[in-house]
Amino acid sequence: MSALDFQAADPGKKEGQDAPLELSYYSGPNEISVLSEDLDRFSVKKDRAIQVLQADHRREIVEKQFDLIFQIMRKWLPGFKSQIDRAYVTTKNGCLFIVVVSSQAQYDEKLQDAVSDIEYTMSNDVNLDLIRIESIVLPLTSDEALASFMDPKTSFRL
Amino acid sequence: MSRLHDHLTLANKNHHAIVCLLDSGRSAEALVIRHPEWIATIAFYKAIHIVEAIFISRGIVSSTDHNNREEKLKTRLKDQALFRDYKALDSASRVARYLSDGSKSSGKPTTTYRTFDDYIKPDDVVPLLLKDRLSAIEKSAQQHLPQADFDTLSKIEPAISA
Repeated sequence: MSALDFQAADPGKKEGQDAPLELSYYSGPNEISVLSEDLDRFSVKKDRAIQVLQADHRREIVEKQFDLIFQIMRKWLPGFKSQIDRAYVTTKNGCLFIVVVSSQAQYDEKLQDAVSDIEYTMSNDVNLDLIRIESIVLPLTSDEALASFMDPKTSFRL
Repeated sequence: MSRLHDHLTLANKNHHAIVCLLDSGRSAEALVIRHPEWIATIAFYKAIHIVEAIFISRGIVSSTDHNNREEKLKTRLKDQALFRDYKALDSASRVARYLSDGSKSSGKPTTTYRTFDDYIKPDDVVPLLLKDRLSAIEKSAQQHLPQADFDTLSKIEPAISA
């Protein structure tokens, strides 16, 4: 059993070629759902993300750490359900970049500190030592406005 | 650049730029914040130089870029409170510089971000970013810098209380 169990969901839904791949963190205690026709796309994006993280030489471990970050975020996000509209994992400058979109246009100090804390914790986790992590909290905005913060080739919606 | 004093000098230059922006909106009656995006951005750059000065003081090699600095802040300096305040300024400055939503132009009231004023109202820039965050970073610096060096750092608290 891999660190992530992939479960087919909503097979009628299509993803745009460059849109963030949607993962559901509500699918079950140890599962992340990936739309069935997107399983290959998930693999391609994950491969690209790992290339960006520049850790091909330790790929197996990096892949496990990559999956562990998804699991940590999947457990963390529901605790802030009312404060978060959506969240993404993408890459930026060789880092895994967590983009959290607030449910409001106004600056949310508590959410900002909570995201900084989860970034700090993961960055100091010895089991995640091969992946550099960064985060940002953005106010509620459109997908178009988020474009400058995301690499569409390596973006996953959590 | 690697000398602690050089970074404190640059921190002070950024400080004076913030004071100029504050003074440009100051009158006998009120303080009007005219350039909140720039205050957020310059506050972040002042924080960068304070952090770099702290690194030198703590024997941590100077950063090569933003990512490298953040990584060292988290994993070498390990001052979580300082990291929180730094990240808040980092996020605010990125929103100020890079987040623009031209897709909402109906003119109707909206709950989504359109301009920096939606994110932080001009009147809230001083309490939320300068008082809560930049001032806190300056106070953290006192724990990490030799007192003589810390004394040369221009502090934001007197400037926003004036």
